[in-house]
Amino acid sequence: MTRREVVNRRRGVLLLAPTVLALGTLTVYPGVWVLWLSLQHRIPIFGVSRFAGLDNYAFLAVDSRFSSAAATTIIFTVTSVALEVALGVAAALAIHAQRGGRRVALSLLLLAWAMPAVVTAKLFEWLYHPTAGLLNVALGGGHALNWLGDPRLALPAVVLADVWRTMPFVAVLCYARLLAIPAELYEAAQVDGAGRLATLVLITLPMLGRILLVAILFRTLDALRAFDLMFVLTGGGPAGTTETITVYAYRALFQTLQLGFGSALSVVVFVLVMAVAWAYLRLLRTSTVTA
Amino acid sequence: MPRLDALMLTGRPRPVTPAYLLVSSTVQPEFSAALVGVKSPERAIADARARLRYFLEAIR
Repeated sequence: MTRREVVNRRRGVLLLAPTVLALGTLTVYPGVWVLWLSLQHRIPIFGVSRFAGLDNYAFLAVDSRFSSAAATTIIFTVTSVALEVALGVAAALAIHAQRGGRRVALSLLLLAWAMPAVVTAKLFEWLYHPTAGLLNVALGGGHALNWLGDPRLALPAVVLADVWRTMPFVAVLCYARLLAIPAELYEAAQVDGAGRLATLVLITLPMLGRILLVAILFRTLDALRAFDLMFVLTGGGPAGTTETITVYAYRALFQTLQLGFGSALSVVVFVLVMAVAWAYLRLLRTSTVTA
Repeated sequence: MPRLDALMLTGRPRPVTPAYLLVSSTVQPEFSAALVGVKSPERAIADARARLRYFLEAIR
């Protein structure tokens, strides 16, 4: 190694140091600590602090509240991400096809996305209100639906609020990609006599593929960790039908102060998110090679 | 006021034990599930019991 290379390398390490240090103290250290906590019975108000091995995980395996929370998390993630992607692509195509008013449409879309989740949740809480809510008024009186109180309606209601809130994210990403599709492709399709449907299916959607994968990745990871909407809208109720694993973890960690048990729940969420992220990134890498 | 006075003398504040929150937050969703018909009452009690047993075992 020449002197110059040594100096260069040293400078590189020095410049990297703040990032490594920040990531280390803010993510690695707490992460390892949570993992360690999850192997303990630790409840400060009772002065309990002892090693439990895998007891917490073994209990999760048979806990009905955990399996219900896991099912809710999966159902919420799959339905809300699917709806968001479908509606997002549709909205992007609709805006793209428009001549005037694109900016207004985009700003309105972004407004929904830029709103803090708690504000969105409060907004929907009013919309869903059994007697005074706009939704029930619009549906006509007589049959007042208890959107957030009925165990069959609560989860769909939460999904709807989430779709309203994050569909714009998908729409804006897709819209940006649509603008970048070269016009020659469409001209060639026209020359070949492709109809509108064929153009959409054979050109537009494949061109959106990569960006859609990225949008789905972000949305899935967010949805798996979903907390704020259900916490404000229903608090996990009625009867735990909208309780995701993160809400359960919050209850255990901060409400009943079962630090060990709550940490085990958090570790499960972490593993779930990492597994999904890893799978998507693999998919993304292979699609880069083929594209 | 006299009525309140009688209540005050016999009433007790809710968290009579530090375990109150643990028990209450474990039992509440199960009772609620039985009430709205998501679970049968037997199932709800059994679930609450299994969870309480594990949690209370931990604080012993």
